[in-house]
Amino acid sequence: MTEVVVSGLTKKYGAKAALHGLDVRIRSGEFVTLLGPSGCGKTTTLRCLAGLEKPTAGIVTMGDRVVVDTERRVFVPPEKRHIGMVFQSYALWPHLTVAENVGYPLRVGGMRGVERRERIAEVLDAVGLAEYGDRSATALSGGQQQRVALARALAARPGIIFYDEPLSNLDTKLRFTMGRQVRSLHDENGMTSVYVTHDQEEAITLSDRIIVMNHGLIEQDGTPEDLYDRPSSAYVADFMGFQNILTGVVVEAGARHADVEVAEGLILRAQVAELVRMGDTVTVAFRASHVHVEPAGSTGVGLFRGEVVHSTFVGSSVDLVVHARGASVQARIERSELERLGLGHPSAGDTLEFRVRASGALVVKGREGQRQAYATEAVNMVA
Amino acid sequence: MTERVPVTDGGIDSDIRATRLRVLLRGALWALFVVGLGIVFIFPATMIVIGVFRDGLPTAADVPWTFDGFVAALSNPATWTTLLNSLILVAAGGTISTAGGAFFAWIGTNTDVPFRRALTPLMIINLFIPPLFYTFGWIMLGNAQNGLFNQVLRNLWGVEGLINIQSWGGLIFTISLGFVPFAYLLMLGAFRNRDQSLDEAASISGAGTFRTFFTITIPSVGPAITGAAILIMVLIFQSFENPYLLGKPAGIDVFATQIYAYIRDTTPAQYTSAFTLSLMVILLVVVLFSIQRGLLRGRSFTTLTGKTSRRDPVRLGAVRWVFAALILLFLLLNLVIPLGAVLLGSLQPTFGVLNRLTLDNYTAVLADPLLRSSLVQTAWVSVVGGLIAMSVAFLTTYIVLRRRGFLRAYVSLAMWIPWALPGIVLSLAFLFAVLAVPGWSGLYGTPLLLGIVLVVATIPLCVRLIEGALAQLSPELEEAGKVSGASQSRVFLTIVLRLILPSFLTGWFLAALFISGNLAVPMLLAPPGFQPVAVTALTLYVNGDYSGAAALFMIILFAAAIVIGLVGLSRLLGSRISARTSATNHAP
Repeated sequence: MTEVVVSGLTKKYGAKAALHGLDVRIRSGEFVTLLGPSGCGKTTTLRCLAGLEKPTAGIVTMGDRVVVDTERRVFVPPEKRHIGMVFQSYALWPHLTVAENVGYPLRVGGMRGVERRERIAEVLDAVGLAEYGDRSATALSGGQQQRVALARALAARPGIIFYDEPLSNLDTKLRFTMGRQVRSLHDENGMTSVYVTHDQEEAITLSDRIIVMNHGLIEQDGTPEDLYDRPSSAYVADFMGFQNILTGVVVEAGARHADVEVAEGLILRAQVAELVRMGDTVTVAFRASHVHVEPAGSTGVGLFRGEVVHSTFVGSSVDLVVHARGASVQARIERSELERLGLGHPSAGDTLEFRVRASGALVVKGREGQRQAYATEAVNMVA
Repeated sequence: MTERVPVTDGGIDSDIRATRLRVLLRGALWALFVVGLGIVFIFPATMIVIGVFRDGLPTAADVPWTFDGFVAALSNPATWTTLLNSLILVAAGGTISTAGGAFFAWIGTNTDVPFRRALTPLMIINLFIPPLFYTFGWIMLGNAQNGLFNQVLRNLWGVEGLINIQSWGGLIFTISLGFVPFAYLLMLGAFRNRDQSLDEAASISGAGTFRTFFTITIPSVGPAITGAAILIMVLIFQSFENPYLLGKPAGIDVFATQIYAYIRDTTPAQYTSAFTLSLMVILLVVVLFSIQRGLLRGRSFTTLTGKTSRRDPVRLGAVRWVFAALILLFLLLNLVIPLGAVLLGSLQPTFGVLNRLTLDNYTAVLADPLLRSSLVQTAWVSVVGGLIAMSVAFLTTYIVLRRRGFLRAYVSLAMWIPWALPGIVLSLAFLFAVLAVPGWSGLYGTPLLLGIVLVVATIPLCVRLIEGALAQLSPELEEAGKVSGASQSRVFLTIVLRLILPSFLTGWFLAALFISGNLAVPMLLAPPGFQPVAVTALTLYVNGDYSGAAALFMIILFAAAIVIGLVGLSRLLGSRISARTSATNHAP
């Protein structure tokens, strides 16, 4: 088991910084995921931890060993860090069999004979490939290859395993089962795992803790529940699948709630994490599923009348794009809800009463600069 | 159940020491490497520029700096004739061989022409035979006085000297034909990977097969074609064997032969003229490469779509039989006839006597201590030189692929030099480099110097051969090794080298063959008492002993064939043995 402490980790490529002084503590036995879009620095962080990249500045400690300290000029190369890694491309050596691939770290480590054979058999069994030892590694299917890669990473029983988007080359179904296997191997072996992905679902289902990264900085660090329910910024909210992110002005400020006017006359009530004042410009985020249809003539906060401009049937619910007072809102309405109100499927042109539930709407940190660009792009993709 | 990280005894202090040691060791190794490359690749090249402005050998005392030689060379009409001849040869040869290569690559990958599958093996076999051997074959066939063709014509119709291979026509013909296989292999990938739906879209738009071919197919592989054309033009600029053996007798001098003439055929040697011509060749090569850069800039051709769905080949109708006949004709012209001529020549007791074939030439060659030692020496130089050339090419290509910054730029530059310097210029540059440094002049006239220059001259070929294999090697395969605990050198040997071993061995073999067939370098640098086969064969040929020269070549080709045979056999046995052991090991 290995605890990892990172402080001031900086990586520059020429003049361009990919990581800006990262501070992270990964507890022993923890499963931590670095989450973010491509270019956010998550892979660079992982590669710096594994020793595949040399950080420009910073200190990295693994267990009780300082593996990187740029001040004191320490750099322990990857082969001396006693780690395991699973690569996106599997990186199996095509000239070796499955057993030889898995046995490579053991052979390098000086383990021989029966002991090595038994260990290979043990890890291959753990990933469900006991029968495949003699096969050529590259003759297997994608999922099997990734399990061989997993077995190889586990073979020498490293204290820590790094995963670089290991499931992104697999199809959806396989991704799910493989993800479960990764997590159960982590639980059985009790090592520390650091996992990199751009897939929020993968991150949520696998991790004890998620670190969302953005342009070489940590945007938010918390449990999957934290991130799913309480993203602190528009960036994280967007990543966590909040389809509606709107900017507005605070018209009523409370200790836990604030009323925000996101379009003229369209006022939403949202939870606040930090104190806001009247007149502040803030960002409100909510999921499409937090929008509900109300009976005609209802009154209250967060209520608005909108015109359906687009309606898509998605099975148990209906997805709507609603225009209200110049703002565009995405809504996912359960069919049971429509039935309860005695309404049919809304179609384009219908005008209905909607409400955004205050418990689902959050005031979050807005975006600025480059973040804006990414977010707009993401919103456009959704819309 | 995890094992603890092995904490080193001294904790952080020992890691600080270890890091410092690694940094020092690595720095020292890199410095050694950089200096080594500088000495072998960059320093000799600078000799050419210096040589233009200094009249005389670097060993001579008080050599003045002067523009005289430079001006004299430029005002000599021979220089401009040489330039014109070279340009004609490059333009004609480059065009024909590129067009031929592209044509065969297209019918080989995109059409239903019969025998198209034989094309790639045929081209590869062709590539394995050094140009010198072919040229000899053609001289035996098309020599105006006693070439086989002319003998046959004389006997049948009494026509004299109808065919003369030692002429402009013969020179362009053999050069063009000789470079078709290389052009073909350079363009094969582009033609194979191109998206055939482009053609289908054209057909749907109403274009016929030939219109599609010229308006869509050819432009879609444009960069591959221009790239191959420029590379081949560079190689033709540098070729020595064909112009020397076919052009010179007809009074056609190109750069390589004229440079040689300035050094060896004039007394005293006109070094400044030779260097001025060398500089001109280098500049022309630089111009060609810059043209290629300019052509590629700003154009994005995605010939690789990632989807390698096999589509139906283009149906050509009756014309495919014409194309099939062209494949056979090519096989005859570029392999069967010239090689057959060498074989036949080697079996004739005297060249031209056809009715009494014997193996006497072979026994004579093997019995003659001089010829035998020539063969043995060539074998050594080729095998060892090929291995060194391949190793250097492997290491440097690897560095260019994996490193960034100064090292990459520096190594690229160093590796570029043998591309730009024809064998004869390279030899001249090394000659002067060795003489210029006091401690090194002992190298002059030694087999070692010859070996070094042969290695350097063969490196471009080796780089070409290893590049493709290394480019396909994902860096993650090496990273996986490091993460598994293997040191850098272990990763390099057990993963990188092991994975590219097939390409490496093929390259070694080919490099050895090319070293054995290199004429330009030993003609200038072979020390007394050390005559590589190429020079020996030339001497025999000049003395009229065609059959002896032919026997020498055939012995080399037989030796190469035996090597291939042994490799094939050991592979077969190897796979059998490994299959059997794995079967017995894992029997229940």
